[in-house]
Amino acid sequence: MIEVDGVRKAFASRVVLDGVSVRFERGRVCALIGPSGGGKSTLLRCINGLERFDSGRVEVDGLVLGPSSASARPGEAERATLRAIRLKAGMVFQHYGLFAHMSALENVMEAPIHVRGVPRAEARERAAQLLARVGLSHRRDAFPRELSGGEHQRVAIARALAMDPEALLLDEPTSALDPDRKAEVTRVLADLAGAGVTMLLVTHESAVVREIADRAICLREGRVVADGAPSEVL
Amino acid sequence: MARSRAVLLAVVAAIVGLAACGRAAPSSALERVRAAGVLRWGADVQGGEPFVYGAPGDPERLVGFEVEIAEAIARELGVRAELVQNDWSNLVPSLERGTFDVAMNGLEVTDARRGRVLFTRPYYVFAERLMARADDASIAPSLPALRGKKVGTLANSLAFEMLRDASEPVVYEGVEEPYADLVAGRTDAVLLDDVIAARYGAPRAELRVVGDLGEGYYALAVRPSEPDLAAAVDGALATITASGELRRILERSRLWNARQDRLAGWSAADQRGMIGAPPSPSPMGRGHAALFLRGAGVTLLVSVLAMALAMPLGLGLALGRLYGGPLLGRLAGAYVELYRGTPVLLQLYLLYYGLAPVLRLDALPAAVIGLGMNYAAYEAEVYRAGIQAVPRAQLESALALGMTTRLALRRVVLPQALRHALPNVTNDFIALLKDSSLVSVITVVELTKQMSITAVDVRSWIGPGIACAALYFAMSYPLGVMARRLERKLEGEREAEAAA
Ligand SMILES: Nc1ncnc2c1ncn2[C@@H]1O[C@H](COP(=O)(O)OP(=O)(O)OP(=O)(O)O)[C@@H](O)[C@H]1O
Ligand SMILES: [Mg+2]
Repeated sequence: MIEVDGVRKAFASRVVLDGVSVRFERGRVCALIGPSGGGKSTLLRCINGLERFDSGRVEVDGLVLGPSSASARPGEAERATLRAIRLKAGMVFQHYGLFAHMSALENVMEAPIHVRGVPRAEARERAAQLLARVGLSHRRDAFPRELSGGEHQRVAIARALAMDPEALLLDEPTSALDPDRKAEVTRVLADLAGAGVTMLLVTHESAVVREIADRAICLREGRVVADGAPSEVL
Repeated sequence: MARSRAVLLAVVAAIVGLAACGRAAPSSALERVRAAGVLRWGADVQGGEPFVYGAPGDPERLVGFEVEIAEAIARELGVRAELVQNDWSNLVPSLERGTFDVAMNGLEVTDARRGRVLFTRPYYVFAERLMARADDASIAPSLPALRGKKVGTLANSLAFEMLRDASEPVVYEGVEEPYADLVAGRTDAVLLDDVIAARYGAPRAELRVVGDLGEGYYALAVRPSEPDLAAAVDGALATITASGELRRILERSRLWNARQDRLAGWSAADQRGMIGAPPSPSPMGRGHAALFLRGAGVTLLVSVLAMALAMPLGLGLALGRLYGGPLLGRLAGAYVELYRGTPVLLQLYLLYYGLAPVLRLDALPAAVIGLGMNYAAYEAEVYRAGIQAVPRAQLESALALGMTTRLALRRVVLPQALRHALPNVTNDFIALLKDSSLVSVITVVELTKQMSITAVDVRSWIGPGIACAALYFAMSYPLGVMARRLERKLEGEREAEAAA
């Protein structure tokens, strides 16, 4: 459902993605691994249009993104495509992604109300369900600054799920956490994987890869250097 | 206990001794001037032609009839004259402080000044000349006829004293601006000394002389504690008047007229008549309190409206700079640099006087727009910093959730950015409260201007100064406390966020 075809991306003269081509299937969990600076985050950001690329193409469920320079402002049609892609591929960042001026519940309700136009009461009920799903019913009125790192990431996952994405893109959701918090978040991800949610997960942790991924891709210096079952690639 | 009393006594004795010493060495003012070999006289070169001004073609060299009179007096005293530049409206306070020996700069003998300085015999008899627009027949040459009219004049002048209860005076700080505003239709008439009217009003074809409403004298002012210097200067003036030198000086500046004949026969009785018994200054009273409150009201009104303009404009500039693309971004950047890089006083002048031929703003709107546009540049930077303080991951999260940039800014970035900016915005407002005193240059009488007018009335800066400071303080202190409280709260939240 996500197809990356010959994507090349350079920052100034530094090539970060050097012709990456991969396909990600619906209902599968794929782990992106590789050394620091290998281009994993950049690939994720290219897929949902936070970063533009120099050549190649990205296709998400029939929606196509072509190359574009970073300085050019996207036209109306392109902006619409970008938004549509982002609705299909939700994203969870490593940290600081929660809206600091809103409670956990409001963070989850925000996009459904203002992007999809869901009535407030309905959005609230759905947000409460999602927070329950990630084990945070009791923290719904807490503000991000009052949440632990693990709770933070679980709210971010609930928030992404609230938009009913076809796939979840997660960039090192567990790397900044202590072991207990890691376990909490991994458990949530394993639940989602079990429920058939399509996931593309950047991680440095082989335990996480083994536990929830059914495929692993290794990026090194902007190139795919290994692709296969987690046990093989690790 | 006894010991500390002894120390106290010693201190008191020392102070009394010092004071006595100061009095015991009464080297007279005239001796001091002679010993220095120079008579320092205070004047404001900005007053311009024909008083004191830069020579045409050689602006470094000062000329004018007062320069010539000062040199003649100094010569009679056996010293040379040296001009000390001083803001005109503060000539008397500066004289009292001892900045110079005498003040001479079209200083009219007014009630307010008679109580504070010694005046010598006059060197010029002036008339208060009323001018109006040539096509406006409604202005008649009498004070009662000016009731309800806007009449331009200089602050602290005899004309201002005459107009104060008779019309609505509009006070300026320069001699050119009252006539420019009269032509522009911002005022109905101008009442100023004939010397000024002849140079700055009469040459304008759009204006006519309505008539003269009274007479007065220019004389030199000397500190009351230095009667010997006053007498010596008086004698020197008498000499150059009798010798015909004064007449030649006035003629050179085309100032001689029949009124000046009186100078030659000036008698002690004339001098008593001019100086009279100085009226006792009115103490600060309820009337002044009302005026001060009104001044504070104007200060508050100008500040609040200017801030109400500066905030949205500043926000627009900040957004333009950050998200407006190359063209808008550069324009917004240029605006900020231009307004921060030039004095707000200059901006007010250009807006009010410079643009008058094409855009005739009233004083109050001009003050609000001028200050508001200036502060917008500062607010823009405050908001920009606030926006940049919101972690980029939040904006990207919002975009990743399908929000448009506009929606993400409105719902996620701006609410936090404005909160971050609030303490700085509050501090800027406090600064604006004080900067608003600048708008008196475009004739708005706000708190500080009211203070300086009252100070002349009551012959003292202390009472009005304290009242003025108290009012500013009452307006800004609560805001300062609020800003600090907000800052502490935000600081706490930021620490909690960093720890999370
Ligand atoms: N906005 C940017 N401007 C310039 N260089 C960038 C930018 N973003 C990333 N890079 C560079 O691109 C390279 C790849 O970065 P990327 O974040 O994709 O690596 P990564 O595989 O996610 O690494 P890590 O495991 O450390 O997160 C790095 O060398 C990084 O410095
Ligand atoms: Mg990364």
